[in-house]
Amino acid sequence: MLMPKRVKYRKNHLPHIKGKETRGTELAFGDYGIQAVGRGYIDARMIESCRVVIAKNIGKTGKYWIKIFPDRVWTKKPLEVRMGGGKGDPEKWIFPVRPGRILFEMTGIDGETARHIARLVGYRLPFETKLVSRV
Amino acid sequence: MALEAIKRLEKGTRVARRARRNGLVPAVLYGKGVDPVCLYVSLKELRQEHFNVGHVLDLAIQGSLVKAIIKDVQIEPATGAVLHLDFQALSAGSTVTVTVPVVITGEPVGVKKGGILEFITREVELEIPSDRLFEQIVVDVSNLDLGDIIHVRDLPIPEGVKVLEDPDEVVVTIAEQEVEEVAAEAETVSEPEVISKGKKEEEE
Repeated sequence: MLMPKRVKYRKNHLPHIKGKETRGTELAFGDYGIQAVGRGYIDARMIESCRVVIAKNIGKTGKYWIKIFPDRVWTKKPLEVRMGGGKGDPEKWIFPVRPGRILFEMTGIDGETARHIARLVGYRLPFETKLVSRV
Repeated sequence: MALEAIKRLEKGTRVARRARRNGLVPAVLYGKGVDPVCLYVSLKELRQEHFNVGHVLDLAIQGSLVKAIIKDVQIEPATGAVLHLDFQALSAGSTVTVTVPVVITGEPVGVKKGGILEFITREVELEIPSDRLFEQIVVDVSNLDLGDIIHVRDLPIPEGVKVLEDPDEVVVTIAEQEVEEVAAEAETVSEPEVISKGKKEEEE
């Protein structure tokens, strides 16, 4: 699963997801892209789940790109622990998603396959997504 | 047909938002020998035009006709709404720097053999005389076999046009398929190396 190899600090502040995305909002490589309409935190397990579903359905002629990388940590305190005692331990790696962000890009497939994949990817994410294309 | 434009006297976010609600798009016209002027154009009329960057049109600004090129289009990423347009007035004998899209036609031989078409450079920056503007560069890729490459220098660019891109830049190539792992990776619990840790120990 995706995670940084080296980090400067073990824990970070929770990244902000207010406002709209200004970067990574246009297709850079592929003909189709899966764009976030809603906002939320996407973790490495969700990205992996989406990757598997894309790889399974894209076929031999298709190619895909993962446009996001989970490089921020999400911490959690153990269960039944009272408040205090410092910040919890790292639990998972996340990426903050704001509306407009292109999450995945695909090429070498027809529109029907792209729509099918976009629907399957949408089921695996905690916010609404849409399919965008160059045409 | 000319695109109708109204002079915009008020400026600012509130005014612009109010105009957008009423179906108008804020725009600006500038160019060599032209005083910059703020405008409004109708979104409905704009939709009828082919309003991509690099499109040449006639702007009718309260009676006077100006030939202009769309230099920039600002689009709201989440909704796709048109926020603002930049028009550059074209004067005879001058050159304009434009980003022209590359369009590919035909099905490559390499793709039929199982390769993947990689379209890397989708637009090129060109310096074109204002009287010879064109909106796209069409490249036929049907003869491309596995491993073949079309560079920027191979593009069919008319004479008198200066290419501002690196001539060795790859435009299209046919790559061989890579076999990729589909199975889900096992969840790893290990933590990444913390850079600051070692440094602290050294200081002590």
